[in-house]
Amino acid sequence: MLGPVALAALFAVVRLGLETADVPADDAYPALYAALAADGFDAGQDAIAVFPAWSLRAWVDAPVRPISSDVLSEDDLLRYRRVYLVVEPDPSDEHERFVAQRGPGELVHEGGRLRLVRYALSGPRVVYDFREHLQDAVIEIQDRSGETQVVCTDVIALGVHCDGRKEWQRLTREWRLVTENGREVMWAHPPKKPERLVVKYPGAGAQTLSVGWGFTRTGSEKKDAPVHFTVRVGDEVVLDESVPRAFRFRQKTVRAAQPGPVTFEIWAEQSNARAHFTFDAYALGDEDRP
Amino acid sequence: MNAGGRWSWRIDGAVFVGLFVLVVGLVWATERDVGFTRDEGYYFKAAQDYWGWFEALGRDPASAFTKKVIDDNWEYNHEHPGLVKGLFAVSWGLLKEKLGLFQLHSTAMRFPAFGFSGLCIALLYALARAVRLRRETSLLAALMFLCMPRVFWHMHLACFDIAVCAAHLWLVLAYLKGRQSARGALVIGLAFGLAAAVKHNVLVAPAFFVLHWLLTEARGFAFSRRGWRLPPIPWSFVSMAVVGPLVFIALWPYLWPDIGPRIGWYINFHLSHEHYPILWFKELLTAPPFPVSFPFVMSAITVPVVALVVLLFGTVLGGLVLGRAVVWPKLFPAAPVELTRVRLLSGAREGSASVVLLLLLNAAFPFLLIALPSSPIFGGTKHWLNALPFLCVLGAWAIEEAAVRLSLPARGLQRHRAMPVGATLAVAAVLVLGPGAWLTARAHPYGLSSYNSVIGFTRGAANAGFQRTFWGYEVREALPFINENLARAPSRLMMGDTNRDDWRMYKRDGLIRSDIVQSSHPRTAQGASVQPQGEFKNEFIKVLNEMGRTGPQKVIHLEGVPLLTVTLREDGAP
Repeated sequence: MLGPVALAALFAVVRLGLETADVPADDAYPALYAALAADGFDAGQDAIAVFPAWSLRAWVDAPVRPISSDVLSEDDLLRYRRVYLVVEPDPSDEHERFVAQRGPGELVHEGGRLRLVRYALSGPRVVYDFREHLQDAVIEIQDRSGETQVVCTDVIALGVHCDGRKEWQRLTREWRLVTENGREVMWAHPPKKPERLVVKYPGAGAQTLSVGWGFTRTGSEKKDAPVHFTVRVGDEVVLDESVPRAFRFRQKTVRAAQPGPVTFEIWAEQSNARAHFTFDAYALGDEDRP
Repeated sequence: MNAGGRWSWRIDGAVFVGLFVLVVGLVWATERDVGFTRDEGYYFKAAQDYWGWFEALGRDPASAFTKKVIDDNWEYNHEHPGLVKGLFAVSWGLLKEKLGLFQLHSTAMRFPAFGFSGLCIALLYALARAVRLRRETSLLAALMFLCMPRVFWHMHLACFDIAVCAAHLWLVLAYLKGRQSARGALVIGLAFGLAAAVKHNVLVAPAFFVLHWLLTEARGFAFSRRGWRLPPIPWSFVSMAVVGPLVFIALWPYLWPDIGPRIGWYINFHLSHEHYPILWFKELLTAPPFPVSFPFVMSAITVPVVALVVLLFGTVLGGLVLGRAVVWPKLFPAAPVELTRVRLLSGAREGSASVVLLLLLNAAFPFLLIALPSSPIFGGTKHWLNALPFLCVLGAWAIEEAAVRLSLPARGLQRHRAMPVGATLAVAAVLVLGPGAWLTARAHPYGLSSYNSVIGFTRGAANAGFQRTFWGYEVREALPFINENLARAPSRLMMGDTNRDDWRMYKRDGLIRSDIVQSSHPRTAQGASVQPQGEFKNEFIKVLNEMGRTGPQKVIHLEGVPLLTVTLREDGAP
């Protein structure tokens, strides 16, 4: 019996020693951000993601709010010119998926058990960001037949509230907990059945869309009926999803046969209790970014 | 008792006292690093209320027993019995308020918990000695329990979780030593009453004593057409049924005006306890059914790995000894039943199996109760901490057995066995205690967030999606930063999961700047502390949104895993 005990002790001591050496020191982060600034980080076009997603020390000195890294491999990241990864030891399976998908990136800085890795992002240009153009949207609550019940015109701090309705009946641009560290999305709680929230962008002549959707953690914890999410370009339905209550923000690129105005429809299949639904979308051009 | 026996008894007494003093001193010396947990806030308030009753007792003894005075002072927080909180009250009221022996109010209230911690480790040593383990092995058993990060962390709190470990130990020790005599039976009844007055965890222990008796000692069962014939019921059970409740009631003044209904309410409260969220493999569990594997998996990833191996060996050895005791006499009637060279004994006549069964039953029931899918599983590992001392005894026994076996081929002669066994035990102690002590020291004052090497320590547990922290105690280390950096006039602070009673104690002890007031929402606060995980992650996002920040200004962490964030408004004004 003492043999296994000795082996366990050896295992424990070695692992504890390695673990102690593996934890980044607090003063490693300022050095990393100095390297980020020296690399020409542009807060208007570049993003930062921290691996593993639970790590928050890198947030203290970050020049922008980091984007959540727990579903980074599912994000097309087309809003950004470059993404910088702050990588700590044991950065998680999601980091492996991201590297498998996009390669190892360019190492900008390494020190104090931290790595700063830059990814120059290619792909189509974002030509219209629905999240940033909330003021262009016509927001209504319609009944089953498509009859308008309420036109939402009550401008509030982060968007528009539906007149005469509860506080939660609004379309607003907010950081919400839809991923491990949140994401800036559009809050779009469905009204009570059979009504539906209809968000039209009549002036957005889009053909290819990148659309993301999901529940907040609170919404996902309420084990209730799905919420239905439909996206139309002109009259063509390009996305029609019954979204089950789960803590998973999904993202998909869809393309219509013809460009046209874009409409998002959100409705509760049964109860809308705590249906904290959110979405995000932008239109993509046909040409890649320079 | 002969001269040798007296000498041995004195050495054990000295070790008992030495362990007690050592542990009390160690916990006291490290107490100031550990912040106040949610429950402590309630018990701090309860202790101050209860001290009012002791003052009333001194002023006007007759009125102190009236329903009004009892209810005025003991009504608050009657979810738990009064003994431990009463001690918190006396320690604070007498030692701090009257005698001025403590600098901080919180330390005075926590002081009895340090005493229970010392008592727990000393009793564990006593239990190991009572089943005839060697002195070195018994020390190993006691220190193995001390060198568990979560156990050591709980020792600092004005709560019941280590106190109930001590209570469970004194109950089993009393039963082990006293069940054959009438005087012993009385002691068992007293021990049970005292234990029940600590916390409800031990209320089911008598059922397992009965099971032990039925399986090992009850003789004379008969079934016939004329009915059943039961063996004589041991006095210890009668004592637990009669003396136990009397002691329990006597030590909880709140019960006195209305005994039946109030005990009924107390039991019903714990049978229908609410549930709190807990992270489990990235899933936030909020309601039953909870996984049956919860206490087993949590133990496997939080008990230091060498101690874990030792506890498993002890449990397996115990199982083998029990199996052999049942099967061997049927297969080989003439062969000796004993499997081990080191016999666990409590009396002259019984074999190891009886003691092993008693230890295993008392180790098993706390695990099994929490494994029930409907049992509340909040609190990490605290609900079955009282099982671990019994496993430590079994583990230490397995080590002594190995040491003895290892000594035999080397020397071959019994009269030379002592030194090699002692040397082997010394090496085993270093192997077992060293990594555990290191892990415990490394995790302090955040032992609640400690995980072992099986899952890759705290960072591995965070990657696997386990609860990183809870109870809002982490803020203490951030208070100097907050005092220095939070805006002045107005100075409102939102304190995440830290409750109002904890806040009051931080203020009262002068740990928070005097001009800072508490805020319940980030919108009206100049700063906020948040536990950024699980059910509070939403609050973390909300705080950043409201305060217009891209990230927090300070992160309190263990091994890089964030336990608390502090966010301050840039301009100070909401």
